[in-house]
Amino acid sequence: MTAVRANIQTSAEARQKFLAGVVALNAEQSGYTTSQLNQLLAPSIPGFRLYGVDQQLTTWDLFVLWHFVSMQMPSSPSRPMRNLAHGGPIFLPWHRMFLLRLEQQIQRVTGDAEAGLPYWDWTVDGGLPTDQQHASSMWGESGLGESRGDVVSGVLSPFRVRLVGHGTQLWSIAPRPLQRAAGTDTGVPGLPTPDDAKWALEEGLAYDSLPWDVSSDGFRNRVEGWIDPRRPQQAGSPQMHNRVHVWVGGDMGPGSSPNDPLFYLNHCNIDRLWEAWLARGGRVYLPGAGDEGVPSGQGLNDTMVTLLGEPLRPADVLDASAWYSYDTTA
Amino acid sequence: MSLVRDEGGGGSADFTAALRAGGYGLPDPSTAGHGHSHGTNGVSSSVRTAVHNGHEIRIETTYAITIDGKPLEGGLEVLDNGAVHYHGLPQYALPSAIDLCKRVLDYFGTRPPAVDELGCLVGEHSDCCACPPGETPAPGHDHGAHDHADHDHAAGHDHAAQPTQPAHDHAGHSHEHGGAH
Repeated sequence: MTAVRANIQTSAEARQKFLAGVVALNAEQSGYTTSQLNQLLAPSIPGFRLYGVDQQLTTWDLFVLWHFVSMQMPSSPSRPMRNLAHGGPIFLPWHRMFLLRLEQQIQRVTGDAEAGLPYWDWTVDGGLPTDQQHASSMWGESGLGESRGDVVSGVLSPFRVRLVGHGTQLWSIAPRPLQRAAGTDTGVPGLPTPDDAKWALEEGLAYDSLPWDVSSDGFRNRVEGWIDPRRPQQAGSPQMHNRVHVWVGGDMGPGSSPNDPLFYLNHCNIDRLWEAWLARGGRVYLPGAGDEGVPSGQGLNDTMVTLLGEPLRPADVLDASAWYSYDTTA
Repeated sequence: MSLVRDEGGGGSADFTAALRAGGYGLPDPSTAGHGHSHGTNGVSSSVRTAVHNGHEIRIETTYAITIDGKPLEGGLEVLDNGAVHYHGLPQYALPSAIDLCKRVLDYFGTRPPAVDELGCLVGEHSDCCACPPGETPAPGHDHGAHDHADHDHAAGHDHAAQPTQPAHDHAGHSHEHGGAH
């Protein structure tokens, strides 16, 4: 048996298991302090360090660190917002690995080897009037807590943030509640809609294309959300995955966004869309052998940036059936 | 493609083995730069290129940004569609650099989110009042109740405005952009 990933808005069991695992991992001492982590990472990442207070971090915090570090890692030739986790073909496989490691930790702390990460099909909430999206069943005491302001009610009320992105630096701060500002950014019209997901899954669309960056057309960039030629008047405005980050705001904005459990719910939905694309079009990845301009560290057999668990390559994650499946990819 | 279920160290101490090893899949530290435009003293440049009808187009855009007179930490990048991006807010790309700076202020304000004790641990606070004169603080150095906000730091420390340039001397680093995060 493997994990089955379910919709968090329709599966109370998946929601409860996930939130219990999140709170446990957020309280579990990792055995590492911020000063120890600086010493560990200094030799392999020259110039990188954590700022702020010296404190013990939790297992949850280590995932925040991992994401932030990966976002600082260059992929040459240098292109805007392209790094070894974002802005290029590696975006989907790297996040699949990242989610898998979090899922395995939830399985460990909940004692349920088949616990699956739930997904947030935000296209459903995206179909609501924009002024109601922040009040859907996702939010409130029985869900993920407050959609705006400090998260102080519900299962996540004891959750604490200890690492925050501040500009391009990662700071260790006095623990505080999660913060959100859902639906308050006037530059974001609302959550993505079912039509947006349909467009990303357009028949015949390749996984990615030259120049393998945020200007490329292809499935990866459509779901990452850097382009949407249907909206030429919104050049550069966040779409799909990017739009969900920006729409939620607060701790979902900076590179420390894995602080918010919503990060995993958002990316799990992106991963579900990728699974739909893979199942339909074949389990292929681009760039492939012989392609031009392959960005460094983003090839099929390149080791992906790993701070937790065993390292994987994009080739290892094109078929995830050994680990998990989705209740539906429709 | 691997079809072997990989437990990933999920249930054992090996889960942090990669961390203890300093990470896997990282670029060679002797040649790697950063995954974003770093900027120096608030100045950052982007180069866009294109070929049209056999002609090569090259556009270099330089931003020199200060907020309250202090240089913005990190640089802006220009996407091919002309939108502007700041690495500290990775999902944002806006048509206007002014609007992006407003977002930076909305998110991060002008104060650091904490006192930086860790600078002492890596030896950046060589003139720190808590350290004996002339001594470099060792790892584990105890700051006790000393409050950085109540005194002036020498050696480029400035807690008055953030995000600003990293609070130490870039010249002491040898990697590509000469700067640290």
